[in-house]
Amino acid sequence: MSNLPPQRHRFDVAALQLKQYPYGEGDQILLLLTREHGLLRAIAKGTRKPRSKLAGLLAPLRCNQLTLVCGRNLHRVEQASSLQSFSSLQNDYDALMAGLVMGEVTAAFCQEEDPQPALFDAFCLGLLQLQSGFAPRALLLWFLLYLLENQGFYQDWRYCAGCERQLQAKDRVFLLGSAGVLLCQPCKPGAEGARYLYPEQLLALQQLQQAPEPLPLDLDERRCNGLLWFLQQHLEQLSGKSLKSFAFLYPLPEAGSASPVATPVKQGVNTP
Amino acid sequence: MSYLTPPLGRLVGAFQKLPGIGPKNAQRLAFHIVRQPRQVAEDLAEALLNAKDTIRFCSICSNLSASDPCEICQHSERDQGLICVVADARDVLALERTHEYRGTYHVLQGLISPMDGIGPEQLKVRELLQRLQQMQTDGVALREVIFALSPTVEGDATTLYLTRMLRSLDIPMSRIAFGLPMGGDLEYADEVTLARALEGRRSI
Repeated sequence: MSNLPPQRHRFDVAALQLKQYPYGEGDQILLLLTREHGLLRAIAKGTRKPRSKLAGLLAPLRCNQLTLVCGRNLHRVEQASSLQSFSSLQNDYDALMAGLVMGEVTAAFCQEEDPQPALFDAFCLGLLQLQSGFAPRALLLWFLLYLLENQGFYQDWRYCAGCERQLQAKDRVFLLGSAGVLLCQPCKPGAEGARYLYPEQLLALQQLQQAPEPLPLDLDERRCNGLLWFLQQHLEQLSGKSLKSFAFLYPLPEAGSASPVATPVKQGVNTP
Repeated sequence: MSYLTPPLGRLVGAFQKLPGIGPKNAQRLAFHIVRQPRQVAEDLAEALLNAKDTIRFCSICSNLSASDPCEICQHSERDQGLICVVADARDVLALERTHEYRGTYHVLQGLISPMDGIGPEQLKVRELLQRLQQMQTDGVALREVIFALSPTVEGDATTLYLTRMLRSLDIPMSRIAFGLPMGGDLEYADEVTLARALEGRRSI
């Protein structure tokens, strides 16, 4: 049974905006993450028009207190006030991209009318940490692992998925992105697409999986990107969706490089 | 079952493909055209085809223009060392209406949108880079690159991407200010706009 208030009723909700897309001449449809109702879709009338009072508040990665009116298909935003604007993310490319990836992955995994109090709090904590200068890639790795566990996709990465032996730092460990599992050297043959995992990457994965809060990682950008690539494969496999924003996490080309203009390329993917 | 005769149905269908035109508006436009003298329809058709045949991207600034280079890039009184980067040709019109800006433009033809998978390779970013590098090679004094992109996540992402990419060229870069609209009342401004206005305050 729906836990939403009856139709045409107003209700107040703290909501993190994950995405928005234009609708009609001047309206927008918002995709929101809430504690009580999970994902919500709401129409914000006239917010693409210059005189709109709500337009400044309704942007991705902002947390607002919204008054919504229940509708048959979509809720309607009646009022909004800012709870947390995370405005300094707009000054940091890596932090902004990490936040957008968090938003896209959350939208791909959460359901409507499915309360998400823990994930909502983790998302807010992640954005606050990003805003305070926490390393974006390390934070994103933590959030993605948290989301996997929260949504019931926990894999124990202390053990080999083939022989169930405990993996040690000295072992040659391989990761299989499509299945989201780790394999030891003897179990690797036959696992097509398995990539070598550096010992420090294994340690970081295991540490992050146990961490209730973001952890600073002793990993360089290349190794972090390798783990992010692994998680991207796994998340895309689980959700059945292409997660487009991941491509923007990888290093930016600079003027003067061989191909300066391109969606940042995947780097740091490990080779055995 | 459609009650429109096939040519009229086709015309309604063609109007309906235009942005912001729904079925009712499309019908209204189609009936209006049909009731007009033949000359009106011919003028409209000729204007459409002429625009489609003659308008192209300016090879310098990627703005839409019937001539190449466009009128702004050719203008001798324009400051060639001042480049304003905008997302769309309509933004050029908006800035030109101010009568304040005397530099040139670069039209990106869109904004980077990570969640929609729109990356810099789909925009006129390569052209901007080549233009700046060519100007440096030719010894043109590059005074400033101004980013006039919307204060949205897409606008911010594009500005951050470009500033990072162009950093090595060592050109002064700036972004237009954001804040309260002229004639606006502080009391009715939303918190985020007001915060940005405070952040972008200037000494007097």
